[in-house]
Amino acid sequence: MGQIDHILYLAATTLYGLSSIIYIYCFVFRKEERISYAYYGALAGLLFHSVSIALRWIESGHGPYVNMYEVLSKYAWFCVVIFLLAQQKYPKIKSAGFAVMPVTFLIMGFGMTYSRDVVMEPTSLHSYWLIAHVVFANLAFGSILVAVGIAALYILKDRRLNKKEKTDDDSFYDRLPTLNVMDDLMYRFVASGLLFLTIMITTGAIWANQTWGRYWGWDPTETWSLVTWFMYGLCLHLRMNAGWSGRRIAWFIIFSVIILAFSMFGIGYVYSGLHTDYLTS
Amino acid sequence: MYQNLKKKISIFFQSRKLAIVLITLIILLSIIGTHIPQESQLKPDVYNTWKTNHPVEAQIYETLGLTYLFSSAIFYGTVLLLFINTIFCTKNMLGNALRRLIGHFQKKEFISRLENSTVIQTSKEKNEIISLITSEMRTLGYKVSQEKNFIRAEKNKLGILGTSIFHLCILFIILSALYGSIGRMEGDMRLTEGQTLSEDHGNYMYINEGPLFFDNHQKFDITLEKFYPDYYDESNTQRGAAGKLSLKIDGEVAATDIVYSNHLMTYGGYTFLGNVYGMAPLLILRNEDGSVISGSYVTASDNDDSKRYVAMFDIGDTGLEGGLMVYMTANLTSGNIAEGDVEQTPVLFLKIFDRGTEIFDGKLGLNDAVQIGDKYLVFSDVKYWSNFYVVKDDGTLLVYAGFGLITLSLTIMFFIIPKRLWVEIVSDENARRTEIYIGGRAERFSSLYEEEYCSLIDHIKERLSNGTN
Repeated sequence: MGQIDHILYLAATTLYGLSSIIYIYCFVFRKEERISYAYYGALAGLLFHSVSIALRWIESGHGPYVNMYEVLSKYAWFCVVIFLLAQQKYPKIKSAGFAVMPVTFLIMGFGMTYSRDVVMEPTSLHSYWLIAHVVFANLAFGSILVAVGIAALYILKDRRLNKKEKTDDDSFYDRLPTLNVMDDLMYRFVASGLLFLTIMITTGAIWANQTWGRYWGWDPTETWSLVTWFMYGLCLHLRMNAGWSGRRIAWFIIFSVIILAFSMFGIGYVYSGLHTDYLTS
Repeated sequence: MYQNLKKKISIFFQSRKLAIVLITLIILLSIIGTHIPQESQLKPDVYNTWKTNHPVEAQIYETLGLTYLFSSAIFYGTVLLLFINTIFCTKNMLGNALRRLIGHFQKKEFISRLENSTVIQTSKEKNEIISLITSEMRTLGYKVSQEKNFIRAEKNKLGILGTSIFHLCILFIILSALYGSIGRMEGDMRLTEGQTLSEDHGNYMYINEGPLFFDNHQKFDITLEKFYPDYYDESNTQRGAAGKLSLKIDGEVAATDIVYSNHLMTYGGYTFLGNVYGMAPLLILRNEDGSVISGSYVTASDNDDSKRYVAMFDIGDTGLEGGLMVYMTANLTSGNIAEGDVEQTPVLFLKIFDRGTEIFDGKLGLNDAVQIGDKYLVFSDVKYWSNFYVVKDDGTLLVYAGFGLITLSLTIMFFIIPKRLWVEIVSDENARRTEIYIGGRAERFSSLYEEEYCSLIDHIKERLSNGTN
């Protein structure tokens, strides 16, 4: 079973890679009519990926949150699910796949650099709160990644509209949502991300209290999750109260995803702490 | 002058820019706090090693208070300013929100200025138009009010309060955390299997009491009934180390439970968590005639995860010092292996020192003795000991409630979007023509609201032209 799940993981990674190439190709060469191939590529990849995760879950007896291979696989899965659902709801944002799918592909590829060995679940991870904690962390990352994709589209469309002369590319940009709609969509996905981050921190605090006897201890992971929460809180505050919208907020969203990615994947490489030692060891 | 100062202070703290500055400052301080070693988070030896290796940085950081940043004046000061700022902003926000809860009818001049506004001309009668528009709005879930030739429709009114509730929740969480921390007590209590200790200040190995705890110990008895180094629960799930605790008041059992990772025991606002554990050989010093001089369980710790437990100890009042290492040839107790199934032999390696000079080095089995002058040191028993982390924090549940409310308020803020529609019907009886001014607004995501608004107008137009229901 261990081999099968890895073969499916490789198949999913390949399909995500192909999907990324098609999204980028469609974006660069303005071939929107071919974008459905990218969509179906991602969907097929998701199917293989889901079966791979399910098989590994059955084999290991625990959810995909014990070692980095599993953690990254799960993050990628949620990113694809959220992006495909967002596309269903707002079909005009499908071009955002040129930013979302390559990131997902890289996460999968990065996951392959880690050991695939099935690791026993540490007893400290035996908690339903942990499951809620990691699910909402993934939902937050997925939502914000979609916001980043829309922010990138926003900036490119805005730049194009600011150019006076008309080109053949304009029809491609015309098919994107209007700037106002993209601005609202970014806002909406960041708001969803903040909501998920809040639930992630809440469930994490309850789990920490059960495991370590305190709901907050300024551990580097906890502190960075708070930094991220404040970051997106600030983003919404600027949008709602300081008149930041459009291009400025789009850049803010693009840069702040670096902080989010660091707080979710990078901390273990820089700091040692209660959260990170078992993942990076 | 006093009024002027009060006004200036009020303007300063109402500033939304101040909130942005303070949030940015908290973000920066938090990042600094994760980069500079924090004394409260590290074991003393780890912190001291860092200090020894980085003497200059350590001195600078300590002088600036950055090694205890999250409890420093600068951090607390920033949080306090944000707290005050949030109070002022919330007061304003709440006032505005409450005013906005009361809906008003609007005239065509106002309606025409809205981003989503339409004028429809029809030859239908006013009453028919009103009936048609109100029924269409009700179909979309709007609550409709009508007066003369004005219509007002609104839905998701609760969303107006979302932002204010969110800010109130932030204030509530800060207050709850503060209340919890100043009345908090946390400590480590070490119990050997079968031992009972009273919940009292002196029985903790380490204790930290908040300024408002007032030594308010409940003094109930805590007994470690049994310790399991590798516990399997009723569903045969491996839980790791576990200890069965029982709490007694006046000899009556008040609570009993098995404490293991992610399964703490709570009683009367106290929580009990197991953390480190070890083995405790019972060493008894006897006279030649067998009478007991002194004896105690020596708590030995596994410092290198080797399952070998070591300790240094004083041998009664002989002035001698002992060093021991004890281990079991099999697990002493286990949930899924009956004790009788596996041979379990404790082995004790003992060294005895007289003012630093080694006078004995040997191995003892259970009930073996070593002669020291005219006395005997007997290895009589071995048990497990465990440290229990005991916490009393009355703010925890309040903080959880705050987190729950903040989640709810964010949902209200961003996903229950208040939407309003206003209509004025202007009839020109001479021309036998009626103009309908319709306008609508969503409090957030206004461009996403356009679609819903356009669909509503299309429906209204269609029904006005068809004249059907």
